[in-house]
Amino acid sequence: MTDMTETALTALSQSISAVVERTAGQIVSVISHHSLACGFVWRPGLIVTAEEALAEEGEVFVQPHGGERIRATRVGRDHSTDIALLRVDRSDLPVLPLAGTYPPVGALSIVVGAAEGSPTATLGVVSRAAGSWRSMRGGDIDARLELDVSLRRGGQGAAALDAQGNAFGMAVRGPRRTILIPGKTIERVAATLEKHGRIPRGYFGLGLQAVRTSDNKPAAMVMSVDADGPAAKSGIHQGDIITGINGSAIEGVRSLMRALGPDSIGSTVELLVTRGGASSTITVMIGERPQVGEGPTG
Amino acid sequence: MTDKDAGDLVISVEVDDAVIAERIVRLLGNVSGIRLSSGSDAADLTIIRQSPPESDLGLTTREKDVLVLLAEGASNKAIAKQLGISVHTAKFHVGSLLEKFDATGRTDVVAHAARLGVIHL
Repeated sequence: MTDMTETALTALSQSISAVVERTAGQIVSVISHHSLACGFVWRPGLIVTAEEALAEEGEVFVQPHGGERIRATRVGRDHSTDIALLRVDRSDLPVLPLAGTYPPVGALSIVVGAAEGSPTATLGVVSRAAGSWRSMRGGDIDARLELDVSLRRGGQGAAALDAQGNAFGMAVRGPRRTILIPGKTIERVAATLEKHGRIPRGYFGLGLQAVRTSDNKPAAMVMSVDADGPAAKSGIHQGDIITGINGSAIEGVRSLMRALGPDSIGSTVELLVTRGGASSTITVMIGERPQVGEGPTG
Repeated sequence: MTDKDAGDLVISVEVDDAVIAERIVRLLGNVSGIRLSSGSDAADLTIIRQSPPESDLGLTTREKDVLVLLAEGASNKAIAKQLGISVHTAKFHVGSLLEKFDATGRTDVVAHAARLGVIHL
């Protein structure tokens, strides 16, 4: 190696360790029943962590850099975006500012986590940076970001930083790779969790089966109706065939699901319904999906 | 030695595709020790064509149940509760679904789930 390479490597190494050192105080470890994760201080007294790695029940503790474990309470969790929010009685923990932008594919990223009160670090590149996507559970995620690093056990919820040391996402485990929940998504979801304790989902109160109409157009047939649900109140019946929403033909059941985002509750949609061969438009005011175990559809 | 061991092996061909059925009959028809069932006598074994899997992802029955609930936005806990399995098992099925969807580059979970059953929205 030449002197120049050595200098460059030393400089890179020092930059990375400086970024880790600067960030460590804003990262915590999260300890819940049989589960270990990382988290970061989102706002004073509020910790964002990976939903998947947070136990459903039992005590939760947060351990800041160089400190003792602090008892935390669950404010809310959203499994569709893998974000959970915790509250601790410690407003002095430094906040990790989140960037609304993200580095391009190929850019270096340092993942800073924590384990039992001391920082952990991993270096990798942004292996994919694409547009917004929808998770399997229907969560809207603002960018498809992947890192070529493998997270250590308890590493979910760590912060991903760019070369300047700006945090731009939270690292979670995806299938076979590490994915990042972008800062923009975290800001939006965590703010809703702080306010409502959950991410509400729209609800028709219908059991729908994908069918094709006699002229071979995609449609959704009403197989069951929740008697207390919004669709029942609007007069939708079992056996009705939904072929359109708000003036457009549906591409399948997913077109109806798309209309049920968190902001849809209380708004009205016009469903084009075929009943006994005749079409009519039925206006439905979207309700909120009952929580698990409360509604007849679970 | 029973009669069955001694006699010809009687095979019945019940393949709905006529071309394939004819080919099998032609191939097996001249093999000594094998006799093709004429329909009236009891066959020792029957050749049938396995129906193609409903889903090209090769999902198990349990995975299909989990997929439909996933598409409705259920959490692992809700899936576990609904199907009467542990949260750990639910997580396992979700993980394997993620793998299968990811491997085939598919993202439209709802569309897939809708083909498998009723979705509650």
